[in-house]
Amino acid sequence: MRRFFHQDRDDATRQLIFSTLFNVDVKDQQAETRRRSLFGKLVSLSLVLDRTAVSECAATWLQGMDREFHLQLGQVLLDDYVPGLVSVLQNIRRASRRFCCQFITVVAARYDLSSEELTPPLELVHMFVSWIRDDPGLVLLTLRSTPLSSSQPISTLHVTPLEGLMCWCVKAPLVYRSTAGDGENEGNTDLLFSALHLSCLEIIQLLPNILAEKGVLGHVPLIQLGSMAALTSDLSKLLQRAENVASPDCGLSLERLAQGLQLARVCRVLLCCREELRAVCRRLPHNTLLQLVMTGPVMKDSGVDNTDSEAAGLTEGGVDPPLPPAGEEQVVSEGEPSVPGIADL
Amino acid sequence: MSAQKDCEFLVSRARELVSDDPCAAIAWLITGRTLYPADFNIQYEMYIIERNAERTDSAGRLLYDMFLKFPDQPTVWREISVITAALRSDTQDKHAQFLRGLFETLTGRVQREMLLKATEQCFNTLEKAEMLLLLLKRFPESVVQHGVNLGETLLDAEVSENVESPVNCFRKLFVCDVLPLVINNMDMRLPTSLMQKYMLKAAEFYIGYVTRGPSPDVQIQGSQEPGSIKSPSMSRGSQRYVIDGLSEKSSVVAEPWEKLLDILTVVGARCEWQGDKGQRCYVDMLLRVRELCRYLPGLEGETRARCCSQVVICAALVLFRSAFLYVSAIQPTLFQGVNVLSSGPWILVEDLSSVYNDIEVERASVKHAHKKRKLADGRDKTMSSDDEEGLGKGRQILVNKTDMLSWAETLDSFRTARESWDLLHSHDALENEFKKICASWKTDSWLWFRIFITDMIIYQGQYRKALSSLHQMASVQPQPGQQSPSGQASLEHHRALIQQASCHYALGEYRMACEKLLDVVSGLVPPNYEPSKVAEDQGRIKGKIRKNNDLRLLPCTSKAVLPFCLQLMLACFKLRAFTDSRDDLSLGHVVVLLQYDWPHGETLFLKAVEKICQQGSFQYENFFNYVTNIDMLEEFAYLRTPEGGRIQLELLPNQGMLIKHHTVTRGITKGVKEDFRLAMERQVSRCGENLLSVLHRFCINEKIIIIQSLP
Repeated sequence: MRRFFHQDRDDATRQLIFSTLFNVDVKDQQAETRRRSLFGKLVSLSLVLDRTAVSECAATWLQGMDREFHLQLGQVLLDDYVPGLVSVLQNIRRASRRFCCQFITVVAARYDLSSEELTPPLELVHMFVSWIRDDPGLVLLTLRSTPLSSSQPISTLHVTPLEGLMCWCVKAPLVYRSTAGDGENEGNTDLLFSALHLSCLEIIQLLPNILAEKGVLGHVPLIQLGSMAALTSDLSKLLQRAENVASPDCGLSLERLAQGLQLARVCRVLLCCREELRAVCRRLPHNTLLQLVMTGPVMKDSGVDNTDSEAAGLTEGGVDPPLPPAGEEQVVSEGEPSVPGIADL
Repeated sequence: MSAQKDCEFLVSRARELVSDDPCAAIAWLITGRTLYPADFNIQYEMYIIERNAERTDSAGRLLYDMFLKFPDQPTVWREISVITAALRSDTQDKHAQFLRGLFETLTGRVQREMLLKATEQCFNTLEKAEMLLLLLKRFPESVVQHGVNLGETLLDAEVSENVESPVNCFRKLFVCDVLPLVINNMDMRLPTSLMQKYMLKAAEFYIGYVTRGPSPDVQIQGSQEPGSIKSPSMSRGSQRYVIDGLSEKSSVVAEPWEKLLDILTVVGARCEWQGDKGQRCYVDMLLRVRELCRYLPGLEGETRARCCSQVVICAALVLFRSAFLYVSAIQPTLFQGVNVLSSGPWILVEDLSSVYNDIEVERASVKHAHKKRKLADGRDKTMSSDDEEGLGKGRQILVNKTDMLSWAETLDSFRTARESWDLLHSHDALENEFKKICASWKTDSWLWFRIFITDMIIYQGQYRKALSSLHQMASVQPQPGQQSPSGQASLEHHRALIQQASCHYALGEYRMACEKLLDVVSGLVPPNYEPSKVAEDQGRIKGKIRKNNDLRLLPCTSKAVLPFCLQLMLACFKLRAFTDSRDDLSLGHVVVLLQYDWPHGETLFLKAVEKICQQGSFQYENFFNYVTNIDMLEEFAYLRTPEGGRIQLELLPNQGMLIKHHTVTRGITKGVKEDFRLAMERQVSRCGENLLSVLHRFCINEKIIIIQSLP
């Protein structure tokens, strides 16, 4: 089969054969399971053998599969290669950018740091960080190729790994601290997740342009309030378990959360007002930055809606010209109550 | 919390983190920027982090944001000026390269805006000009608007800043950077007069640059003692040259003559000069304008003026270039950056290699020459060089080809320069134009050019004029012992004296000639005498028939100058010694001097012996001091014998050191005979002495007598 796909054929032909093989409309649950399992094995095998053609087809094909299946495939790959053979996964990057993006998304969703089993090995995190630092656009490939509309049910969207990665970064200071433990690695782990966290923030800043191009800026919550609520809830549990809530690790977690929320909201991939934000974060201990994010900046001229100025700040300081059309920016304040400048709440 | 405090908090957190975890610091600032987009410090801090991490793209983007959002922030301007300074500078250090890279990440429009605004903020003329130049270079379309203005500003700055030399930072910028942009921009209409003005400004700069002297702060090693005149080329390589106001690297102008020719080509094309477009070499250019000159008398009005300008500018450039090439070969130490493999300096003098020729042949021709020289000198005032005749035409310049490797090129340059000069003086109109250029460039004060002019008029046989030029030169150049402690001055001084001596000799002013030359010789250390080599050299020349009016390029070294001095003295005394009247002293000097290069002067020596025999007696009390040649001693010993004719020889000095030569003849006693025999014996034992030391002693000790005995 490998040899078959490796033969000189044009992409369309390969795609067609691939679909014929796997796209059997089966009602039979057992056949479906077998099909999925076979597909997983093929992808996994193609990685070891570094077959670009197969990976490419798989990536295209994966796009049409449900989240369930993505998770399954991720699991297949992880079962096959993690933790012992993470280096094999390096081939994913070389094999196909698109599949690589899928894989990161799958892995980010898979691991939520809720248990030791669901904590990604650092080697894997390292690999992701190096991929993303080298190529920040990588994790947005799926998003770019997915048609989006505001009417589409949001729950089916699993197009970026951002939620998952944010979750990693926020929880990392508390989770890896309790598992790893030796001093030198701690510092390195901090830096590793700092880099990942910064990448996330930078990627979030790229989103408004992409969404604006698709005409759905302010309508598609790529980062969902529900996910954030789950994250804050997990975090508050973790913090409760922590010995000292005022420790730098706790502070780091809260600050990363605050930064992620702020950026996501300003870039309008997290669609909520500050009131909702406060609700989500209400069980968390005090943190100055988080406080600042929840209350919003102090307004010099109290008559002006500060959300506008934030949006302006983003676009002017924004990363990617061309800038979104000015008209789009107005949408952001819809439904969001103007937050007056309040000093420390 | 106030907004101000929030911002300070955000920035301070970032600062705390930046050294240990720069990513976290940036995350703080990114967040801060979304909270307080109007706060300058947050963005500046971001920029500083990116800049210090030398990430060109993000730093460039942030700088641009600040440039747009905070145009009145002095900090932004300071930053921009640091970057533009890096753009202007030529330093290759990493940071400067990073800043240049940062600027390159900006879009053209932004670069242009930034440069224009930065230019507006500049108050220093040079800086402002450099800034504007950056703009012009990057955005050629802005040349039309700013080019000429920038040029004029720079030329004005020369005046307002009282810059003396044409090789200054303003001119450098104008000639090397602005001018090529302006004249190559075909969208611009430039009046001919302006083009010619710019052309001359460029020429003045390049010539000034090429002929710049060595830097005063770098001492030339050696040559401290006046005797050892040697090539001071050793420290040349390490010499640096910096134009005031510029960096060392931007003070370097590569291939100046070629650049000048490039400008000339473009200007010529734009001024509609005659001849083909690509003037690729100076020599061709001279040929072309010489051709053009023929039509000059027939032209009128504007055409004539245009033709005049073309001829004068082209011929003048050929003249200055060729004169420079000539002078840089004969006196390389005058210039910085002249690559000298040859030794120097060299002096253009009368060729005296025919001094050993038979006197009869000589006398006739010398007389003839003198007559001509007198004629020529009498016409000095009115004579322009093109009507010189006889002496000035077809004179040969001899050079020891093994000593001067580039002799052919050097002589070619000399000839080309003379021809250009002649062309420039072939019409009144041309001469007037040329004089204007010379006056505005103050060529009178160019020592190197004066050296060429002097050599040229020597070549033309106008010795009187040459002498006054040499005196003038002494006023231009540093005096010996003053200014330059490098020995350069004394070398220079020697050179002038030797040349003066040669001119005086040519004019028949032997006393003056010897006086000047003996001044030089007294300062020399006599080199070792190498008879065989010299004899061989002379032997080669002997074969050819030499005209009396040839010139020679003489190396300014003890080894060459001392023999020249001896030959010149010989030439002076030879004429007196062999007159019909008796002049034992001159004859004695001749005998002493003929020892050099023996047996080259054997014929003359035999003639002298013949004269002594005719006279029956000979008195020369310095004989035993200076005659060590065994052949001569033998001959004189023989003269006293009966077979030799019992010639009465008074060769022993009296008690005193100096004796007037007309002392009363002493009687010959037995004791004296004995003295003579002993003296002869002693003298034979001196044969191994370094002859040049003996003759050098002769020059020094007998200087007064020698000079006094000449007319």
